Amino acid sequence: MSGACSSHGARISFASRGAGIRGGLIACGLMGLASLLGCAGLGWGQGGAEPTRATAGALVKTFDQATLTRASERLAERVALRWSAGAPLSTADGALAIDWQGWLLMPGAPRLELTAPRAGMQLASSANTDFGLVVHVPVAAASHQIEVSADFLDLPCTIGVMVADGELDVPIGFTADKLGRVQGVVLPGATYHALSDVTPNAILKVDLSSCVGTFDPGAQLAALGSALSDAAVRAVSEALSAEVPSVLGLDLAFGWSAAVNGDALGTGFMRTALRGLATDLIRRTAESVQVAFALTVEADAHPCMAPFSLPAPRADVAAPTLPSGAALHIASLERMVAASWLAGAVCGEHLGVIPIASAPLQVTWPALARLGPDAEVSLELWPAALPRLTADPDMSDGIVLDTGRIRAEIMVTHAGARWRAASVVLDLSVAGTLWVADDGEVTFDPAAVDARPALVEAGLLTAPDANAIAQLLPPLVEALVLGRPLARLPPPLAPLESATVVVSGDYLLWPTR
Amino acid sequence: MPDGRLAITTWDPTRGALVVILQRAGESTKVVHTLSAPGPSELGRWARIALEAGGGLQVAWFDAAAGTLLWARGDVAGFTAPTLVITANVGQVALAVDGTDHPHIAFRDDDTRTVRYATRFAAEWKVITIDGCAGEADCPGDDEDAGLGLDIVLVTGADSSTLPRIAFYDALRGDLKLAGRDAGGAWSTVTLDGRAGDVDSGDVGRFVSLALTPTRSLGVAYYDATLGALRYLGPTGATRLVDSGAFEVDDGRARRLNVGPFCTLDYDFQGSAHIIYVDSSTPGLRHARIPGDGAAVITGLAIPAGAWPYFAVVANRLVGAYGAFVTGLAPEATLRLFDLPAGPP
Repeated sequence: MSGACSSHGARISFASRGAGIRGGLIACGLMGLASLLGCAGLGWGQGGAEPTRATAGALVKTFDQATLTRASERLAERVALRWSAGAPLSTADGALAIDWQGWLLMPGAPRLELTAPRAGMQLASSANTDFGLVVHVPVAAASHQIEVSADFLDLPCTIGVMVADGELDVPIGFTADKLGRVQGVVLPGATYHALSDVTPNAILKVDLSSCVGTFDPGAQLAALGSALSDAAVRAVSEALSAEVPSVLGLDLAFGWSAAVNGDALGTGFMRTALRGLATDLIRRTAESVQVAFALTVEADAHPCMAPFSLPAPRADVAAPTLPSGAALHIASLERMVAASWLAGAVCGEHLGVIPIASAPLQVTWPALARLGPDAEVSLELWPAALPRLTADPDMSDGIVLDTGRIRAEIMVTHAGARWRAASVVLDLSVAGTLWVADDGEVTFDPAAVDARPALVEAGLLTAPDANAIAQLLPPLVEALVLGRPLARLPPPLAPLESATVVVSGDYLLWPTR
Repeated sequence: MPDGRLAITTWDPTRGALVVILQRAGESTKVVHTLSAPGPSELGRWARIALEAGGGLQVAWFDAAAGTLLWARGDVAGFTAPTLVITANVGQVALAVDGTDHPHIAFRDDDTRTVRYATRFAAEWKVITIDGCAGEADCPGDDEDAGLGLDIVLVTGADSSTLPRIAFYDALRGDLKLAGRDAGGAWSTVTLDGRAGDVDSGDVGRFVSLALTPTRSLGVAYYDATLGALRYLGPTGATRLVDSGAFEVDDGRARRLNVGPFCTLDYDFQGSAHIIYVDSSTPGLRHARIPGDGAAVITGLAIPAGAWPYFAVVANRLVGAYGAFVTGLAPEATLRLFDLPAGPP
């Protein structure tokens, strides 16, 4: 049997036991945001389900010229692999039947440029239209002999062609496929000009002396240059179409479905899908381009939660204002957080360890001292509502998580067992800022915890009074939130350096690579 | 005891000594024998008592002040002076007595974090260390930690030899294991629950209780820390979740209590398993009655909250004792006896 113990210290603990699939407190968010950002489930670019309950524009990726400059370096690395042996020209039907077989184009490092909006360019455009993104590809080609057949030639003739060092200017558009994956599209209007002469397609010197027929050498030279230009664009199109969306970090479409919490009570599921918009994919501003994605978030409730309805998806969201980076609508993050809670992420025991200065606590809750110096304190949470997530009106770039009514079981370890020391039914508000690290890890840095008890019940120990609750719960909740990442962003959404997530209007903004 | 009294060993804070108390539930008359010298409670940790076939009593305990595992034998009239089993830093003790009154003690050595087994023949103690590995590829490792929960029973071999069976908790792996000696004297260890191949069923065995059915088959009650639940492995060899602690609140939401710590197991004469264990959320004590392969019947015991229950099923009643929390001073506890109906057999 046991006797009374005295204690001069205690620890607040969230010690881990067992294997669970549960996320943590805020991520509600934790799993939710993680799921959004691809920590689990299907791989990137595999598309997702039809977003019947989607918020269009929930996530917006914006790039400006500085972003394009960095992306150009990545693009150069990617295409260097594809074009290490040159880009072969291919033959196509046309007025001139030219066999380009065996002719290689030698592309150099491409660079992306956002051209000034031209007259007539729609600033809010649909997909697959010219919004001013051009890829400049320096190219060189060795002198070559080609055989030309044409109506105006008496006989096919072999001509010598010298190509000046030049540059392809290829306009690129984007479209989203049926799974919401952003695809690059080479648009009409590409030009090929010599470095020494910007006249389009004036890139050739041709020896036509061996050709017999009735033709205008100047016109045919232009036709030959146009044919070479077309062939050159075809030679680089596949690589540019495939790589440009990727180097701009637009390969974000995914679908994810997983159990959030599976325990003895049952299992809760959450499903998310992120897709490029079928219409209004791209929005051009004077200095930047925005690519918008729709987010679908659904959940099957864990038995620990009442069958609440998730916050309704926002049908109309205003475009965020940011020069470059990523923007996530706060209402969408709230829906993810709520979905994660509904799927049971918050129910039950929460784990982790922090030391606390227990001497004051022993004054306000002396019963805790009887557990001895090795006692540990942890929390079990049982939400009775879905959380709210809002911008903090009192703190720049702050967000506030309101738990709604929640039951917090204060658990202690004693004699090898976990006991419910006492319970508090309360409303919690946690205010803080979001951070995103260069490795993509997203953390919530709580600045203030407001605990508003509605009911206190004794357990193994006599119930703590209001002072003890005010002393005990905030550090417990802060430790619970602070000690764990909310999410890990995939590289397309990660910044170059750790950064605070900025709150701007209805959006959370952060820089990306 | 054959006369219907309970034999209890406990630290008596009033006397400041380890005592054996002989008392009937509901009666104030009792016989008290002191085993340890007066002093702090460190002198009498992990005390366990067992009954001999002839009605004698044996007690084993750890004197933390001296760092010694001690054993004493006695009866209603009194006890002999303690005998030194071994000098060790002991963390848990379990005691069983065979048909010829020889003691068998399983204990945890806190220094080596191993389960050890002591038996006494011809006034000599023999102590061995139990191999905690059950064939795991990575066992033994540097961080082995066995025996934070343990219990022992004795079965009879085909040649009528006494064969110890020790259930223990492997804290490194979160597994419940069983070590046993065969008739040839060889020991072997198997995993009862927690891991089977690549399947990990959770952190199980932190609290464990062994008992024999009327047909001398082995049963184990144990705590599942992952689920916060009570599990039972009966003579069929299949583990089952007896009490998940789940319940429904008014608005239809499900919640769960942490149930299963301090579980103790016994069988009635018809072979139904009875487990008394702690609901550490409410808190309170619960009773599970498991009739063979049938569904478990769970009831809360109508006695004050507490822990460390020990009991036997006697004439379809649960007769035992536990540490009842002192109102307003928990976890300080006081010895309390109970005699409760065990439910339909």
